[in-house]
Amino acid sequence: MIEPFADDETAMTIASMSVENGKTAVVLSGNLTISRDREGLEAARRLKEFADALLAALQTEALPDRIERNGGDPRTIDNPFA
Amino acid sequence: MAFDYRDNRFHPEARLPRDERAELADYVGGGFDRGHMAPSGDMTTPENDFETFSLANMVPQDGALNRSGWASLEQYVRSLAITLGSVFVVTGPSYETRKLRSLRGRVLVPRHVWKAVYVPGQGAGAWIATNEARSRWRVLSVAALTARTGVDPFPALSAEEKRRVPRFPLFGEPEDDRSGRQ
Repeated sequence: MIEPFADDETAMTIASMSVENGKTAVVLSGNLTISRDREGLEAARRLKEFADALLAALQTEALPDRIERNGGDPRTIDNPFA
Repeated sequence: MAFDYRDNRFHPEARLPRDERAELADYVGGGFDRGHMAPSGDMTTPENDFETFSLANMVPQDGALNRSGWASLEQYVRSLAITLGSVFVVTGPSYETRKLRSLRGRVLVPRHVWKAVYVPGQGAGAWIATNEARSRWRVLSVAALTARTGVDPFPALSAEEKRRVPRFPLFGEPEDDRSGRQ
């Protein structure tokens, strides 16, 4: 399992959902069906394990109200082929 | 499935020279996702899956597009492979505007992303989508894709096969006209 907020490069998959780590944000995308069976139990357990890690990471530091995530607009350059 | 739970790592492409490759730092704070071209979810071995996380397999892709419509398209193509057995897939960016945005002056942001598929014995076709949150989509023939992007993803197909427009679903708002097909 990835360590939340530790880096900008690790990623993981929880069944059909993808998780991308970042120092300023962790992004979860996709959707996840939790079926009422052993597979569903495993998915729910992995999800809880990760949610617990997120909470633990967020609760150990003094947080700003809102973090600045983007470094500004991308630079515009001339397209050499257009 | 063995790949339901896996860890992975985005990485610069070690086989490219430093001045010709994207670095992790180029994407940090740039406001774009690292958008896979070959999807991680298509891979069947850990080695292949790791290789999809090479930055040589990424373009700066709008996050909303990457995580919703484009992800749905990738899922649809996987379902074609499951249903029809064999699908050839070519995915790429296109950069046709006079001005281009870039990450740190190093990684160009494509105006569109496209995906072409060929199913032996069935046919071929493609999608193209604008690289923005309210992405505009079009389903098009291989010939029309080639006319727009300059790339012929399947050179061995006959002209007739290349002209056919498949009845693929759209995964976002249609481009320009109401049908979204070309």
